[in-house]
Amino acid sequence: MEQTKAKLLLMGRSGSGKSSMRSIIFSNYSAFDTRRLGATIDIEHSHLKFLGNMTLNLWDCGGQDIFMDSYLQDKQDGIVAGGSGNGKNHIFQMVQVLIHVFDVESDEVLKDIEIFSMVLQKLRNSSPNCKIFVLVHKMDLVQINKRENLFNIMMSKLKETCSMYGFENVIGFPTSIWDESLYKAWSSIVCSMIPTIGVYKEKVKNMSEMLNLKEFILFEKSTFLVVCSSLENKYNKNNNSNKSLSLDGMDPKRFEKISNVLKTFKQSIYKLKVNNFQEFQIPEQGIYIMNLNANLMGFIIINRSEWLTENIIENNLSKLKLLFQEDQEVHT
Amino acid sequence: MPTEKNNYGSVSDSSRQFQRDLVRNSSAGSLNSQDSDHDLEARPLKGERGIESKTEENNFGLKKKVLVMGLDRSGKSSISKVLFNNDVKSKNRVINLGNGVSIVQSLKGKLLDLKILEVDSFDMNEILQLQQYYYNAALFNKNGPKRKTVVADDSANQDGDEDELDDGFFSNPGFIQFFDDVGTIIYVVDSTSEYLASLANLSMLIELAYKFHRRNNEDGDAFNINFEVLIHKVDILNEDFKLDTQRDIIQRIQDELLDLGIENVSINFYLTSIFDYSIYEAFSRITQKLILELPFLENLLDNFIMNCHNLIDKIFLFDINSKIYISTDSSPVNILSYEVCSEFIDVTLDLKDLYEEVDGHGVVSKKQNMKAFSKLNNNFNIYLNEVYKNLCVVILINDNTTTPISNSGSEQAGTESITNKMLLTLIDYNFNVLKSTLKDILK
Repeated sequence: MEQTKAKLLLMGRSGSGKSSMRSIIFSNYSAFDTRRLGATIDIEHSHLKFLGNMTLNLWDCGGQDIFMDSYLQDKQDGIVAGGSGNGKNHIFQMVQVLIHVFDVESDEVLKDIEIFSMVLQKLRNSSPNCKIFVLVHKMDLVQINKRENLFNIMMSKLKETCSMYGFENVIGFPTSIWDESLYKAWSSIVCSMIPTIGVYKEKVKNMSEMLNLKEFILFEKSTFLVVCSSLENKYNKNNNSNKSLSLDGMDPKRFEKISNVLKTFKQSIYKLKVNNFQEFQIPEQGIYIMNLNANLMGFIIINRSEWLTENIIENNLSKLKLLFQEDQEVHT
Repeated sequence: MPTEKNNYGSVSDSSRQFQRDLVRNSSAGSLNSQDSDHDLEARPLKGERGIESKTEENNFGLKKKVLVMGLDRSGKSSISKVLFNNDVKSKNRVINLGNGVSIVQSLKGKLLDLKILEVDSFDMNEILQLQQYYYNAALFNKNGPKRKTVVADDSANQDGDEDELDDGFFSNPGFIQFFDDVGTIIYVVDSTSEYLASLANLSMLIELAYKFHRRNNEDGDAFNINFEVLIHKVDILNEDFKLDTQRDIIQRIQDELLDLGIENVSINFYLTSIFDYSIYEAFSRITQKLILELPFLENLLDNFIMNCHNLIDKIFLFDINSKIYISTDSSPVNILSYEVCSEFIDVTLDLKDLYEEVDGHGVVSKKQNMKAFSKLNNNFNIYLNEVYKNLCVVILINDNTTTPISNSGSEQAGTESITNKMLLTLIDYNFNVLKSTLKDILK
């Protein structure tokens, strides 16, 4: 399978939490560890391998005003001088995804939005097809009952701004590094860029029907971001209507929560000088977590029934594992 | 000579001053004499009434008490919150008994039957005032105010008197209630502030408990209250300073005890912080001292390891709610492996809860045993199984015997899974033996 590269711009004003969230998702930091991080100077590039065949070029852009000005300024100079600028005018080119982070506690919301609109303006010229995600961050600082309202107000304002520049499909998430909301946002962002997501979805669905699983969730192994789930369609529908959340008795936030818990576990076992785990099972609950191949981890919940003995389960699971391993061999 | 005279002079001055105070106090005492008897019964120590009423209610008689004490803002309440309140669903009861003493937790299991009490804003001054009060009253009643001129005489007399005079004080019912059945006194010292006052307080407390014990156990039982000093909030100190502080505190307390002539007090020091696992470890060690069956348990766990072909690195018996380990095998505890095991319980609980809601059409079978197993890279495995309610075994398996991992070839994977299964079966079997043995003991 061909290698896909994607360029992600991570922007937002100084101190809004860009580097913190990047470290948590991709560098195995705990929320507590992010206190160590200082301000990002200029741009930090990171190349992240995802699912083996996808490289994410994450541009973490330092958010201090002086840097922001330079990103936005250079390009203009470039245009004036005839486009040959050796400065930073490449920033806004070939961007697949813009992730713009807003600090919900910011004092200067108007300034934040102004910068956002300037970024959008640049993007309209350089990469008009890019997807826009906005994260309203540090939600933990807002009282619980006010969060939804505040988020909606913020989003309507931002959507308005985006449509002014021709970006209609803006997706926004309320996030916080102190709970699982961060995983939800990043899962959606990353999933939107997986070209073969359809293949995975189908496979997961077929398998879960074949083995009569309650649920089958695919996780990316190193980040624990959700790739897809056998019940995902339902999940999305529920999420939109927001009322029938627990129709099937499932916790709508379970994906993020699992990500969070597993990440914690991974950090925990790091103390034994172990970088990851291969298997985790809670048989009484029918929960089986296991490595499927080099990049994927499966989270499987079995519908338990009398005739389903441990041996059968084990057999099924190893078959399932083989299927994914073959899959990978075909790809590579 | 002249200087000595001067000294004597000043001492006798102060002793005269003392006597004057004494007279004033005792006369005040006699003025209140109508209600003083009643007062002695009822007023005394903060919160005793609370304990008393609770004792009547629940009949805690047989259990050991653990008192958590310390000056204001030393971190007592935070400790109990971190240790016992993290799980809302659990039956941890936080009963505020009003005047200062609250039952933080009754660790109620068959192995462990403790009542942990937090004594709010514990201040020796109050007890001292009380002692002074008794002392004065008794002195006034028995001897009347005496004139003492010679220093040597004075001290001798006072010593002689004290024994008798204190009788009234130590037989105060509130006081008895306070120290009765106490297995351990946990004293929290805030290492980041000036701790001298706190230490002075502590040594007074030890002295008091010691004297109380001597008075009430004339047949000479050993003084059996454990003192556990938590040098707390050490996360703020840097590594060198931490050790210096510890050394300083230990030195001061030991000197103090030497001065007081108190011997054979079991006193231990722990560096703790609520931001890491040190507090759990300290509490684990403290509670373990109160478990009578401990050597037996340890032996049992050692046997367990032996019977599993030395595959096991470490085995812990955990109290699930508080994450205190009740026992472990006799090999030294590496704090990291304790942390990992403790976090493993958390992870298991989290995942389990997540899908218990899934089951939840009202008929969740909550009696399900909690069992989990995880295979890590590098041949490590973690195994968890519940012995009975709230008590579980967590085992850290370091399985060096399986063939080194080579991911290519499905045959290899096949054999690996078989050994894996054999391992699990072996441990399952041994676990069941352990479980039934534990049940036998605790009948």
